[in-house]
Amino acid sequence: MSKHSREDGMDCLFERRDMKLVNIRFFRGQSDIICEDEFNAERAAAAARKRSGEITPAPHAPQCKQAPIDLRKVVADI
Amino acid sequence: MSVAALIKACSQWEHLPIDIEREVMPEFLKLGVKDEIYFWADPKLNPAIVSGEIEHWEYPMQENDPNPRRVADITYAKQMSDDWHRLVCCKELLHLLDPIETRVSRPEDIDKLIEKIILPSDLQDPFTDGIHALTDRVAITYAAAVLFPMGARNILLPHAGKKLSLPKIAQMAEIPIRYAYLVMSETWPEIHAMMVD
Repeated sequence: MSKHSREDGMDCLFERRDMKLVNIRFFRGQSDIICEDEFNAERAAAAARKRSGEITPAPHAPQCKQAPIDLRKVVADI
Repeated sequence: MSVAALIKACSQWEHLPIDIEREVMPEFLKLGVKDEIYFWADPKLNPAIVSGEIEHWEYPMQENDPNPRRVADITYAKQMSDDWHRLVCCKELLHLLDPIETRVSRPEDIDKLIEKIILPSDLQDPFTDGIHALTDRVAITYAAAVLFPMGARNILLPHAGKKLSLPKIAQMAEIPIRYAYLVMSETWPEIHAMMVD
């Protein structure tokens, strides 16, 4: 792993004194082969986009497209 | 406050799809999670490399603050489909319930987690990859249990594969088809029982 991408990934987690990291977790991408360098580079670039304001957060999770489906009705209609 | 309690609560639900904000978040509140949570849809994050992540922070207002402000930043690759957005966000959200001993916050643990998490499935070893990598992988199964509850599965099961195709079930659940397949599989009740015990 190159020192550069690894440190970029770590810097964004530990550079601020007013906040403390409690936990960090990842959802691996779908490529079969992923190297640590590209993984860290993706993370560091995403952190930079957040810091720069290029992307902004939403206060809610992605929402469903459909209204709740009554499954008992679905199976009754089969 | 545990993921088992959350899955148990969700398992009673008999409808689909499960909305994270409207239905899952209130369950977090009931479990005492009052953290601020922000969702970052990143259009440039490459989903082939990183589908998503959670960074969970504490902001102490003063030294040794017993009640620091807690904030979670959940980032996900916007290029993915909507069903993947939901699965990734739900999985990351569930890490708010990680017990202290499985949390990852030291640089050496983060390095080790990344080293293991990037391995393709045929090179993963649950016995040697360590608790951090293992809990990261298991959380995807937890998310499937939340977004496709046992109660809903049990209603659909007698008709699955006959008049109700798996793609149709996945579409109703708004989750990726491979996870609908997992929940509808014969082994799921056993997996589910292990998760809620």
